Amino acid sequence: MMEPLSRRAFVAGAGGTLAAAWIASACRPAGRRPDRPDATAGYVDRDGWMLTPEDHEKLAAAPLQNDETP
Amino acid sequence: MIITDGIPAADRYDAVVIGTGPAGLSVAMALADAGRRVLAFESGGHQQVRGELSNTIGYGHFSGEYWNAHSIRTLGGTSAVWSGWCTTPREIDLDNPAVGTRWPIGRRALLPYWTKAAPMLDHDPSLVDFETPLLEGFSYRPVPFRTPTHFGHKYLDRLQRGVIDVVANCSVAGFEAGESRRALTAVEALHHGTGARRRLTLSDRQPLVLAAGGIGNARLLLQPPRGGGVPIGNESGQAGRFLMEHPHLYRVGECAIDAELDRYWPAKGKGGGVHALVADPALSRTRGLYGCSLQCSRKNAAHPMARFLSRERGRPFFHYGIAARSEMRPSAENRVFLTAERDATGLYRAAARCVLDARDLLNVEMSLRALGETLIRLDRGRVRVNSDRIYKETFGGGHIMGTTRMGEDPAASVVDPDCRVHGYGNFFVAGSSVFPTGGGYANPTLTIVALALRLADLLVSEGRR
Repeated sequence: MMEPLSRRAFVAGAGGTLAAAWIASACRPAGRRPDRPDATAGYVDRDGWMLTPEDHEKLAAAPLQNDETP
Repeated sequence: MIITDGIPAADRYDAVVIGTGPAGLSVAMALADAGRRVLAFESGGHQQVRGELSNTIGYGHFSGEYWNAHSIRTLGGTSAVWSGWCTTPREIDLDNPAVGTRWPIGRRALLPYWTKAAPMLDHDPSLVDFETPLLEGFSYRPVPFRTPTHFGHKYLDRLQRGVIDVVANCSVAGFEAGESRRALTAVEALHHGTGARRRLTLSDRQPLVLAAGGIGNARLLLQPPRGGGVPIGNESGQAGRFLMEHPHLYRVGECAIDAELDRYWPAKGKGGGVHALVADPALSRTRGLYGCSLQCSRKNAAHPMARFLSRERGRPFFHYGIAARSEMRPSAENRVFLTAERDATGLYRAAARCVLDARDLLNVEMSLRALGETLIRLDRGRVRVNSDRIYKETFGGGHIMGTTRMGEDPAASVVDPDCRVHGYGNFFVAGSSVFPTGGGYANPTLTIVALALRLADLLVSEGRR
């Protein structure tokens, strides 16, 4: 019969999860934070325009007739 | 005087110049203006490109006959196919950590010579170095254009009046140097019309300026000397290495911006050019960007994105298409090397491998995205990036640079900051082959002529002959 998860094992597991989350956060490249678009991510629509979310919303309602889009 | 029927001895002359392109003729004319007697060699004639001489085989991104279209054997050299664009490198273009190599001379040393060189190329000195702030992080830096100056036509009168003696249809077939290798002692020339060969002795006070083009300079320095051994002038083993082009990319993006760029053009009624935006040094350093000129044309206020932004912001926006002229970083593996085949002069034929690094192309995308981010942050406009055009359709500009690079370290460069071959008292190189980097995106011809004029000043000041 299996023993229920001991208090010690539970604490160790939760601690490991928290540590992993902290490491992932610390190692995230500075330019990839969601509040700071970087030069290789940015906001890009399907045609390659770099746009803000507000632009997206407005253009979704009334799309560009973009004669430059290949 | 243009000599077509033989090869005169060199002892009547104060200096010998090999090649009559923008580099060679600029050195020769400046020396002549200072009262020096100059003998120049040109392997072509008035209009002829000599078919019996070797062409270069291209490998990599610039393959086949690519280099031959930009290495012209005629009076005036490659100015015969020059397209007429002139601009200067900025300080960061001469010393950018992201490129990894710096020029041993800075803008302060070059600026007076750019000013002298511009009129020789029929350009306005005040335009070739023009720059004005446009928005935080980017400057407006147009690239002026004029009807291309053909040196063989523009300066033919001066040659015919006897200011300089040019032996046409005559190639250099080898150099000699003493055992100490401190000076050239002789040069061998072959006259294609008569088939005559002549060995011209040189004194150590008689400078020889090699100005045979980006491929030709390296090819001559790579040739094994009679009896074998290390090629004369290539004691460093660096000749031929670090071949570079300027990647040219068309329709790589577009922008809608609240600035009408025509208003920034400084020369209304003084000729043409293209609007261009460049990242400022601080932004370049932060982002690791190097030479990239984002060239804006085809203004269109009726474009849908311009109309959208104008409507939303209540002020006019203008749409422009964007092309990019950019820089490739030097790599020792991009190089001119010799094949096993000899040509009519007896010299080994050259081949050239030139491969763009992915980082060179990514630099263009990063520059476009830096502009896009800046326009969003300042609410000044929007940018569209066309990745396929960047990564699948890159061209060259016919700019052959870097094959006899300039540097302070004799083990890592071919010529010193004075363009003198390391270790030799009377052996010099002129042309874009001495460029240690591409100098940013700047078209090389203006700097080629500027460096040639600087070299002539040095030779005059050293009081040679």
